[in-house]
Amino acid sequence: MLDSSAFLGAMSLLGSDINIWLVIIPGLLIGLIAGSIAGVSNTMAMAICLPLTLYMDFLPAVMFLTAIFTGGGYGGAVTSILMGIPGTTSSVATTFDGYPMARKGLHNEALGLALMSSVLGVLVGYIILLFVVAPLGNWVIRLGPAEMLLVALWGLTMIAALGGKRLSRGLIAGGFGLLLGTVGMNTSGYVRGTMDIPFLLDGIPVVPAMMGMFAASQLFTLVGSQFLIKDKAARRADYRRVLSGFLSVLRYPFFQLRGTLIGVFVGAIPGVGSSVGNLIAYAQAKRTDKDPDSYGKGNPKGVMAAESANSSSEGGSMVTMLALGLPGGGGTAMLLAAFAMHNVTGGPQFINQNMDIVYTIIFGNFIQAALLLIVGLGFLAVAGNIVRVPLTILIPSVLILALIGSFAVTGDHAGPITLFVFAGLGWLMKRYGYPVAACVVGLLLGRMVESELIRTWQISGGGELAFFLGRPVAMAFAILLVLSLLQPLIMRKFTAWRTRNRSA
Amino acid sequence: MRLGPWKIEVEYGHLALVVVIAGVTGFYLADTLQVSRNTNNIILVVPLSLLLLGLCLLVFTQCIRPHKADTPKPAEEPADEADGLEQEQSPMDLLRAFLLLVGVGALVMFYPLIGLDVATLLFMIFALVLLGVRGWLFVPIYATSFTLVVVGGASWLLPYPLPTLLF
Repeated sequence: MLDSSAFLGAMSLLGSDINIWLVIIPGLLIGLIAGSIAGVSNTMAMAICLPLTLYMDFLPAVMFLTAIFTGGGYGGAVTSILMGIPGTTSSVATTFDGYPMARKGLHNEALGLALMSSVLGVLVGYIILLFVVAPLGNWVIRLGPAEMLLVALWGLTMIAALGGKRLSRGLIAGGFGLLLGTVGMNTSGYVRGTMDIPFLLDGIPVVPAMMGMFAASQLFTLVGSQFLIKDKAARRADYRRVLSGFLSVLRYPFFQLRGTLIGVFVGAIPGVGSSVGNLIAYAQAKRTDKDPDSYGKGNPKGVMAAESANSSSEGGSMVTMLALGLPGGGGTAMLLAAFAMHNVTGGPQFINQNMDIVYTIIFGNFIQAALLLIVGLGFLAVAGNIVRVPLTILIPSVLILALIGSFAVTGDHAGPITLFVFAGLGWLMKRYGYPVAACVVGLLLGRMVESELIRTWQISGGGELAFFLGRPVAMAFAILLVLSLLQPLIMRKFTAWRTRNRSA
Repeated sequence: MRLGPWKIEVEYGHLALVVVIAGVTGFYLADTLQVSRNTNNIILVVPLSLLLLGLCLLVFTQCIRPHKADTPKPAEEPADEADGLEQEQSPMDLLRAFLLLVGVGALVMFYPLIGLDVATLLFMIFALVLLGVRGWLFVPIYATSFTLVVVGGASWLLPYPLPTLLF
């Protein structure tokens, strides 16, 4: 499992160059700041910093970029908790309980909890990566379009079924998002729904749409309130309470570990990875908890499940990048670009010939996780004060930041227009109890779901049942999908039956 | 609305949302079918659109609740998912939120013409006053300094030019 000569080689590499260590803290800081600004994701920060790595050696360059990746993972949680606006697509589930915790005045605890959960998620994710990088890579490459399709649909139905009070509204939100996600040119070259608007050929820009839906649904519903937290005393940044949030992670080790494992394994699936991993981990936590009704109202276990999964998915996505040379998402695509800039090619050959470098990257990430704890705490001292700003000032300021962020994502007028359209839609959906997150996840997965569905249709010879029966993993995902869909109905019937029996 | 002995409660806002979703879905379905009826084109869009239209019809009927005029009207579910964490917005707050959305729309529409810097400054002044910030010195000073920092910072940071008028 563990190659001892490569292990020793990694230790010697880590001790050979001081620059490997010097780039970590700046990288973490850049990631934290970028992740916490809606629209300026860690991927964008990595893209902006990519040219800088030309002036570095290979290992410091990779360490710098992975530090941005790690910092950005937690940075996304800060806005999710304090404002209900996910900084990145992988921190959507953090908003479900993180933001209600903040509104209850528990923002210090929520931020501490998320930080500890993220640090442990990164650590455990990379420890798993250390042992399973080669076998997991082989497993992932065996997943075909049918499995990818079903994983994506599983994540979507779980969030549609669990997100709202009524299943019909959850399904409308998820389905509408999925439908909008297919606008533009599909994988077979058909162009639909563009209304002759050129930028829609590539589809609806997802990040501006996400920012519009979340920012609007939160900010517009806050009009009329004075502060995010009503109680003045609760608004203070308090390190003792951050610490109590830290320690509360240790009270629920099972939730933390399960979220981490889901993050690693779902994160390893290219294209689905971190965006779905946090949703699945959250839904699993809610499904199996004794008190599922407390989720969405500020349950710390919800924050823990989401944060542990999105942080550990970094390790998962590194599996496919290192073992197969396939980027699972934007962050790993940037890392692969840095590899190419230094004339290094990721993939099976890289792993076989340079296991010491793979181990060096993994060990370097252990150090990053530990340093994230310290740098993250310092960052919280500044970021936590946002709840003290009156909403009358915060709302327009955040709207402008989101608007400029949306421009930054697309580089043209398309971003702000998308933000505005989805702001209106998000506000109305939130007002009438539709889970906005389901719509965003549908939008995110629409193109991929359609492409994988077409491929599955083609290779199965027109949807032959025998094809699916010969793919046990696909069957397992299909069963999970149906169960996710039926779970709210079953639970409702079961609760009604139990209440009837008790009263009888 | 009254119809003989029946009183009909209509959630107009919700109805409008459902009509918009159904309308967009219907338009997209028609456009897709017009482009091609090849399986590779309709495999996801057609079944999904039909499911969505069916669900919209179901919710449409839920938005219109008839009850006898002499019986109390059926209880409404709280709209918000966070169960009481958000305070209920007054009609005035809703109007302010709507005007703020209109303001964002105006900003998006006009910034290519007047520049992002000027549009941001005007939007900030409008939004601050709309949301109730008082102090005629504070509003222009905050709006100007915020615009300078944010738009200036973005034009320095971004690799492509921002459409600005002054800097």
